[in-house]
Amino acid sequence: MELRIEALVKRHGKRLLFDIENLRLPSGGLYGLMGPNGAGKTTLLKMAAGLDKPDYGRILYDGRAWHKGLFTETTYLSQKAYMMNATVEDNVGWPLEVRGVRGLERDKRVRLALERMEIPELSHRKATTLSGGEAQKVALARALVFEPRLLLMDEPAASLDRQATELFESRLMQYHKETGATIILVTHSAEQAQRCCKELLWLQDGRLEISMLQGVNKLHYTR
Amino acid sequence: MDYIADGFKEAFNLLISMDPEVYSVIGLSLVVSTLSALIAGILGTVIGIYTGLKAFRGKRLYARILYTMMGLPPVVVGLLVAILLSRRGPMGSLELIFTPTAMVIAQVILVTPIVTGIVFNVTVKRGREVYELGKTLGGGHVAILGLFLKELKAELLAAFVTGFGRAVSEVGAVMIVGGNIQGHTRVMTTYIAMNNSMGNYAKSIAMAIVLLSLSFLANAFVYHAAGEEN
Repeated sequence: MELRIEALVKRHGKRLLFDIENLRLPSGGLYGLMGPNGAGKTTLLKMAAGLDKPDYGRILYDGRAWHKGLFTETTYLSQKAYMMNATVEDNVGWPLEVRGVRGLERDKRVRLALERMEIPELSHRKATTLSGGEAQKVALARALVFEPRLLLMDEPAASLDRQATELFESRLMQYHKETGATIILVTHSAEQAQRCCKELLWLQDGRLEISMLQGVNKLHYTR
Repeated sequence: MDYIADGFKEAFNLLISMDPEVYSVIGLSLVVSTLSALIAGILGTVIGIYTGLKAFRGKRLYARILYTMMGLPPVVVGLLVAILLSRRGPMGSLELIFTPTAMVIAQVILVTPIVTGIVFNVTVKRGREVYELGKTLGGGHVAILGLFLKELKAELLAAFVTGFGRAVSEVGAVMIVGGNIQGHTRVMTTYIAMNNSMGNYAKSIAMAIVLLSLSFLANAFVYHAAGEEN
C-alpha cells in the first residue's frame, strides 16, 4: 500500500509537533521511523493507523483518503500490546472471526501463526498471565494472522530479549518478503533499523526526512 | 435490650410464616428496583462508553457534573418527579403519581448518573485501549462493542449492581412519588421506615434482613459472573 503524506500538521496545544510538507512512501517498503523522544513518532504512526487526526493535511492510501474500510487492511502494534482477557488462541483468532473466518480454517491459521512465532505451547494459556515478551510475540502473531497490507509498529521489540528480538525481526522480514506489505517500524535502535529496513524516516523538530539506511549512522543518533 | 433479640426472633417467624403482605412488599421492591437498574444500566452504559471514548470540549466539566450527579439527594429527585407527575403538573394527565411506574421513573433518574459515572470512569481509564485494539484488528462496531462488554465485564456488572443497590435501598424518592400505599406502592424501605415509626421493630428487622440478604446475593452474583471468585 502506497502512502502519500500531504501537508500534515499536528499540534499539541500551542506546541507544533510536526509539519510535514509532502512525502511519498512507495508500496512494499519496510521503513524505519526514528527520532528523539517526544518528536511525535507515535502520533504520526497512530495517524497513519486512523487512530488520530491531523490538525491540517492528510495521508493518502493508494491515492485515497482514510476510510473505515482501511481498518481491515491495516494494523497498529504498540510497544506494550493489550491482551484480551481470553486464551492466546482466542486472542490470535479474534481478527479472523471478525472477518468471518471460523471453525477449522480459523484454528489452522491460528496454529500456523503461533508456530511461526515459536509459541504453540502458549495456545491455551490465558493471555493476561503472559510475560511482557510472550505477550509481544502473541501480539505479532495476532497482527500478522489476517495479513494486513499496512503494518505500523511502535517499538514492538522494546520489551524483548535478544533471542526474541531476532525471532521477531526475522518473522517480520519474512512476512514482508512473502506479502509485500508496507511496514513502518518505529525503533530507538539504529542497529535494528540497519538489520530490518531499507529506508529510514527521521522525525525531528517537526520535520520528517527520508534517507537510505546508511544515513542512520550519519545522524549520530544516540539513545 | 431484649426488644432487639425479640425483634430478631419475631422477624424469623415472620419470614417463615409466608405473610402475604411481607412477600408482596419484597416482590414489588424487586420488580421496581430491577427494572430501574436495568433501564439505568442500559442508558448509563451507552452514555458512559460514548462520552468516555469521545474527545469533546468541556469533557472535564462534564465529568465533574456527572460525578456530582452521582450523589443526587433522593428526596430532591422524588420532589422533582412528584411535581412533574402530580395531577396539576405538566405530566399530570398521564396519571402516574403514586404508581409503581412513578417509582421506576424516580429511581431511573437517581441511578442513571451512578451507572454512567462508573462506566465513564472505567472507559476513560481502559476503554481507549480496548477500542483501539478492536479497530486496529479490523473489528466493526458490533464486534468492538462485544469486545468492550467482554473486557470490561466485571466493571460493568459492578456498575449495574451498585445501581441496583442504590435503587433497592432508597427510601426518599419512592416515598414521595409512590406514597407507600399498602398493596400498591409499598416497598421494603418504606415498609421498614413506617413500621419503625410505629414501633413494630420485628417487622422492620425482618425486612432489613431481607434487604441485606439481597445485597449479599447481588454482590455474590457479580463476583461469580465476573469469574473473580477465589
